[in-house]
Amino acid sequence: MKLWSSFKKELLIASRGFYFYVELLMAFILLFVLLFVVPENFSSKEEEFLYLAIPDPAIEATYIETFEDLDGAPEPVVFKVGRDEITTQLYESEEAKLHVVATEADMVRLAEDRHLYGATIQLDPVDGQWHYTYYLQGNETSRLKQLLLVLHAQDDAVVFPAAENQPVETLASDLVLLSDRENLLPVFLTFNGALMGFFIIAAYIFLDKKEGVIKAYAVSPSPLWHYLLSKVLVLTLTMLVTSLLLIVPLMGLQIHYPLTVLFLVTTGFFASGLGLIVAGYFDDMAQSFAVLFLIMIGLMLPALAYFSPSWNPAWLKVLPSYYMIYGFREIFRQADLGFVVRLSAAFLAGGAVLFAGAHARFRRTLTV
Amino acid sequence: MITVEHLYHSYGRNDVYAVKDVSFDIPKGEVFGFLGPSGAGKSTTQGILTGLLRLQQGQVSVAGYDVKNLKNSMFNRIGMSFEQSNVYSKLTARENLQFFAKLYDVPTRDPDELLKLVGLDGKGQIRAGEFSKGMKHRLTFARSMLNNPELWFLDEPTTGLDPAIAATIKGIIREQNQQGVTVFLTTHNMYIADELCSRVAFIVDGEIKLIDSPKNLKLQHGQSVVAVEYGDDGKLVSETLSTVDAQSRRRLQDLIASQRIRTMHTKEATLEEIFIQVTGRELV
Repeated sequence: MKLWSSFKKELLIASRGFYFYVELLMAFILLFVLLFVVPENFSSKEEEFLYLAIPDPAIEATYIETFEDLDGAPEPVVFKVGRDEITTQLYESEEAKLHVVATEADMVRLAEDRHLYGATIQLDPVDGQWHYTYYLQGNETSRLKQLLLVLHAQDDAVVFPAAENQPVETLASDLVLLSDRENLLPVFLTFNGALMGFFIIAAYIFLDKKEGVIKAYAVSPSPLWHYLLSKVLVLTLTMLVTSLLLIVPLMGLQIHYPLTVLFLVTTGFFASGLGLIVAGYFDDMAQSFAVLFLIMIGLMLPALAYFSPSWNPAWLKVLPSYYMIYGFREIFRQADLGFVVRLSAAFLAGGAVLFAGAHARFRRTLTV
Repeated sequence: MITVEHLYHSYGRNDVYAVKDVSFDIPKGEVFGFLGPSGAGKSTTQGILTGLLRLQQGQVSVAGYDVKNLKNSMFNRIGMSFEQSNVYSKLTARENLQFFAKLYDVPTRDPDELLKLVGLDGKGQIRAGEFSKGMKHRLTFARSMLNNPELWFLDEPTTGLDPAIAATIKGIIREQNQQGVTVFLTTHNMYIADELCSRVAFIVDGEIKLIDSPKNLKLQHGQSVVAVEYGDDGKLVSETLSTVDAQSRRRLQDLIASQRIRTMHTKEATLEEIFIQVTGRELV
């Protein structure tokens, strides 16, 4: 009953405060971005500028036919480069957008201006050989450069059929593939929910410290852990609501919601416990800012590994946000749900340890 | 109601003590004043008695509870009004009292009745953050009465209040005491201590220098003299006369009979003067 009263009071205070609406607003902004700014899937089409140095128009026409344009007809596109306008003929296939440019100089200018690749394809009138000259941006890996070098070592008639017939075996065939938009959601949920919760619970505690109300609570018959837990519950509830605001419109009813709620609650509990520990060691936001900032930056690092799977050092796996991100992904992919349950148990246990530590710290540091 | 024996407290847990060998007893129904300058150890002692600070050394019993093994139920029997008002600024005055009332396991007083008692009637719907310092202080004071405490800790209860409100607060303290409430009053204001306390303790540098009733202290340390001002050929003359010495008493009788006296005051010592006399320190 006392815990319920404390929870209701905290909820009332939160609803009259600034941070509650910051969290809600953030959720709405992220939802807007995901629904209206981020495409369902990012375009993976390569866009290049080509200059064809082919003296015989008939051969050039035959060469262009190999572009496999989707609608069979080129589309004129006008680019503004500096004060000049350069018109290209766009051929668009399922895999690439190829702009054929009238002069080599214009091709180079466009490649430079648009930060895209350019190439000159030349048919030597003497020996009848094809020559390829690539204009790169300078930041390409040596692997790509070597690939371009060997690409034309063999005849196209050998290379392309071989590439197309390359066998690709999908190992986890029962996985639900996420769209690019859905793939962003685990990171957004980790940052908007858990990490904001970590920061905001510290802010709430600092406000109470400033007002001195913790002391008033400490001389009441209600145990101090009720005070701390009521804050955690409010933060977890806020996180749950704001996270579901993002999840429901994007994922619909296709995911396991009880498991989602379990994971949101346990990660929220863990992040709040972390915030309580930090708040226990400082008196106000100004004092704690550097520590809060460093922890938040540290916890954001796993997002880099998530978006760049080739960078995934072992030490990243020490950070709890790593498991938050991948836990959410597993839920959305409906893959290893047992893994999510185990993670939830770990976050619950970790949160309990942090909460007990914070409680001990608050008991020791109540001053007169 | 309170028993303290050989209490020591060191914030650095070394031999620098904020409170040194403090001992006193407060029987039920007494108003006990704890007087001392800032940093003397008043708040530290009160913090230990109310469980805000851990007991390090000594024996402390509060309302029958051993402070070493503090139980939450003790707080059903005590009330605490802080020097620095500490209320939820985002809650209204009534919500503040309603919330804290729900934390007790004993019957509590009606928040509106308490607000009226401290002169905040009609302000219940206003958020505490919009209150003046004095109003917040009164709300903190009202909160300390929610559970009808048997033992009431008051830390500078009239600080920052205008004289009329301060008088109301003092009236409430007297009334509660008449109903049997024991009061532990921490202050550096000797006037309120003089007005309200049955006994006072002078604490300086963490040590109690003296415990006695204000009346006894005045008798022991005061002077038996009267200061008079009277008119003499159009001039105002001041004279201090002993009430013990026979010659001075005759002189005083003559002055009264001559009807020339403009003002007359007994020169009993104030608590502040006694404090300075006993401790060699001022109450600042």
